[in-house]
Amino acid sequence: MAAHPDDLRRWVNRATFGASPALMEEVSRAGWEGWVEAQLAPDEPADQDCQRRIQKLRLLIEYEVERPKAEGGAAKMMMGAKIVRKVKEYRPLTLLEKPIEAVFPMYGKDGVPFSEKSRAMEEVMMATMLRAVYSRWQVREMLVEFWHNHFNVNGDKDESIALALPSYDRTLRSLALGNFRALLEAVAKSAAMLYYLDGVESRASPANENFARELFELHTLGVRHYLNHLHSKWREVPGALEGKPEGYIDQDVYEAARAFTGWTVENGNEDDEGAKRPLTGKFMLREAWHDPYQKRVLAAEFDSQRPGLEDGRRVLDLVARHPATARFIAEKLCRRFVSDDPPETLVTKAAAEFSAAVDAPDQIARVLRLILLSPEYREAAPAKFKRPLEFLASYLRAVGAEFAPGMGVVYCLEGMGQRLFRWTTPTGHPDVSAYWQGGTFLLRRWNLPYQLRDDDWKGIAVCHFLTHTPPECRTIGQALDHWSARLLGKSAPEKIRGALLKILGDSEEANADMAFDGEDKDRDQRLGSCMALLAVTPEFQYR
Amino acid sequence: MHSTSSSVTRRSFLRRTLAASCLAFGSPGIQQLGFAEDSSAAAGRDLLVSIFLRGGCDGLNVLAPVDDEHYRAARHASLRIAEKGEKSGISLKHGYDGQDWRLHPAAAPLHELYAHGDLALIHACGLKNGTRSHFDAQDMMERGISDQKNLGLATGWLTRLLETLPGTGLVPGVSAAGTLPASFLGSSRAAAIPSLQDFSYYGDERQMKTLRLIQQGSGMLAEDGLRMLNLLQEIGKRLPKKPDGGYADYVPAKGVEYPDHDFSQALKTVAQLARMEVGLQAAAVDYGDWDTHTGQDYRLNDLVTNLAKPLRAFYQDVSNINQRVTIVVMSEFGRRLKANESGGTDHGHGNLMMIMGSGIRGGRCIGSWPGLANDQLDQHADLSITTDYRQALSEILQARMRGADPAKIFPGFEPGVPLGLV
Repeated sequence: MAAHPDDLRRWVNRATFGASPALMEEVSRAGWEGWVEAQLAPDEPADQDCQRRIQKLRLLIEYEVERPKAEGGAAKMMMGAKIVRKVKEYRPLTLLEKPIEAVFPMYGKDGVPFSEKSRAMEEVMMATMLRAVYSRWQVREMLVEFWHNHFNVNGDKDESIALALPSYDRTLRSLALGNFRALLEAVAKSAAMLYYLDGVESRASPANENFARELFELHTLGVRHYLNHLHSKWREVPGALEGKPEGYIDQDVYEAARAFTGWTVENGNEDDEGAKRPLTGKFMLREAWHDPYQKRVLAAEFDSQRPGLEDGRRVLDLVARHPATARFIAEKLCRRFVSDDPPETLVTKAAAEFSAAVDAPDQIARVLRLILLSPEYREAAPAKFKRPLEFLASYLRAVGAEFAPGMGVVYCLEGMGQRLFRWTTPTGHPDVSAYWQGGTFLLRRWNLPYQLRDDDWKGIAVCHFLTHTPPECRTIGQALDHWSARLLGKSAPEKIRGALLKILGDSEEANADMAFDGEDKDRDQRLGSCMALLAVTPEFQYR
Repeated sequence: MHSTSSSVTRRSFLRRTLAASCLAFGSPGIQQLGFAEDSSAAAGRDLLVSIFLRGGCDGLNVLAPVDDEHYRAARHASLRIAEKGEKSGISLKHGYDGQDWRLHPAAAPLHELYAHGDLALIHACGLKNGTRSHFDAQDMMERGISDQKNLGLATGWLTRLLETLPGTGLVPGVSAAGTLPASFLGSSRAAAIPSLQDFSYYGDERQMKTLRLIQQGSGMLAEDGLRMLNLLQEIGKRLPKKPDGGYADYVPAKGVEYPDHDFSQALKTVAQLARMEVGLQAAAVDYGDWDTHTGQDYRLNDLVTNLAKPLRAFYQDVSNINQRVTIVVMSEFGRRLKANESGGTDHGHGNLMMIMGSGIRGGRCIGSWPGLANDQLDQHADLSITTDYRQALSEILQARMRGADPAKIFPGFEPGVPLGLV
């Protein structure tokens, strides 16, 4: 039985960055199940339009540098003037697809301007926004954003992280629908995470505990399974003596930290013997820093003197297979795709699927399939307050704008609370509505569609409302209905319909039958104002 | 809800509070600093500013007994306060008994306040719960609790403070950030305003009316939206305008210079609101990035510098407004006594808390020092806690926030022997 269009629209809105006329047509054609199936097996060639837009984008880079000191510095000083080289150009995204060893050599180079280094992060920001709006693999992009929050790094913390971001983003995208254990190891070995949580410096002894703690608390078992307040000795953890501890305690953090000592990056630093390591940003094990002695993690004994990476990889095995991890990841996915407080029945089923598929190469896709096809998903009302990027992308998708982002958009999203690749704490952004919908974040959200409408944003998001208004819309009522349907899938909420007509007719006396006339520029502006208001109705704000 | 009982308590607290603040007037040397006299008796309202150092500030590298053998043995010289040399710590009078107590050299602006009796230091203070998780610890402290079991509590401690205070100003509470922190969880009286620049709606009058219509309904979004609309209107009226119609920049009190820094900007916003007389009673300001697992040497120096200078400026800026101001500075936990091998320290337990205000019994280290020998440490690793963070806050609230009811603000907490902060 074909689903009702309203239902389809609600399901699509929650699984993607927003419905567009083309997407709704595609889903109606394929049916919900068929469409979900296709989304879970994305192939790159089919995403050419998005790729082309990424290749076409030109992003401003602008900085000034002092010319490197030439011989005869005294003469220069006598001149008293600063000699600078100015760079101001619109440049394609040249670092985005490069392997890390082609980007990371800028690390620590004083001669390379900071703007050239942070560019690596900025390019990922641009591509992320373009994919949100244009990728046909919308479910995967939603998941990539999910994993960037789950495995949060902050590109502002250190230039190494900014430089590692293109590679990190590719890693998360390639494994977004894959196996969690594989994803976990790829993250643990990434320069981005090794720098962000200080693993890069961790050596025996005492080891650096930053990564190990967040691995348990935020990446796998979750803080509700941190039993430190109840148990100070590992034997007292329920289940530990049977080799199945319910949770972890500080001693597990200490021991896991020891297991990861020596996991570091080829960063050009000198070895203890004075030899220089290569500068590639690639993972390496530094044997001399590794703590080789026996350990105990989650009640499992680790023998001493095991080869190379075995200790760390075994910790990853233990946490990835722990039932608390299945539950934690399942719950987070349900929170992301269903509601702030997801139905217990669904979380239980999703966790069971996560465990059943623990060795499957498409483990995450399987869990997501279960969620998206579940009755709980289909029945849930739109109660997730859109994240700022979701809000922006869904608006642009609905109105069919031509979008070519710049850094201004990034700052706008930050004003609404979403710091793309620059969230400071390893928690990632909160995934509950309350965080986004109060205070100045809300004010900035109200203002965003005006920025999209007004001239200072032209070139970034071009939406000519009037051009896209069908000629048969002759009255303001018809014009309003057309654009409400584009944005909301239905007519404007009754309580503001009259007020919107006044704006569209530019008159306190306006009614639906009034002719929609006036100068083109003015009409376009009035349509933009109506859209700015429709966009901040609860009907559009929740997905 | 509990209006009858709270109004009774309010009156009795008022009496006690007034008595306490009268006693405290005689703090020496204030005029030298150029601060106005404590005008609390005349003030209509009291103001509490709560500053949270997120990430776990290493209190043992901010205030420490530099002659302690355990302290010296546990850390490389770059991760502790020095006794002598260029970067030696600032010697303190009235430290804990028998040891050479020093402040981090970058905290010099705060030492001025200490020397004048306006800053009290409480070491070995904090959340007694054993968690070493940032986010659990912050969540508990911001809710004013000490047990994970109560994390479901839907209000923060500043939310409850505002609920027990008299007065219904336009902005009773503010978070100088884009959103409310957990300490203001569930508050309908707090606003989130990082800066008053660009604090306006871009639509015209007709559109604003429509926006108001959109907020008619039930639920959080409608409530939050209406509150923001009212704020825009009322604050817009009070902000001085430039000739072009835009809002004029804030001008702090004479001689006050705020450094250029995010934390500084946040404090400036609080000061600006306090001076606008919008009924401000509680403010929350965050300062992040204290999680120094590596590079602590230079990072902490920057962090303390960028804490101390803005705080000193803020203190002077708000000292002559018509309100009694108290500032509390806390962090979710301290850091391990023994350093790691990567130039940093890992998550610990007990920590330093700071209280500032004209009229407090400052210029002293308060509470008791548990020592740093192995068997004196929590879990044989971290500074023990001798003062529950709520003990210090309760005393401050009771004595300096007229009408506040600590029993409601910290449910289930039994205050111990008074610290004598006020």
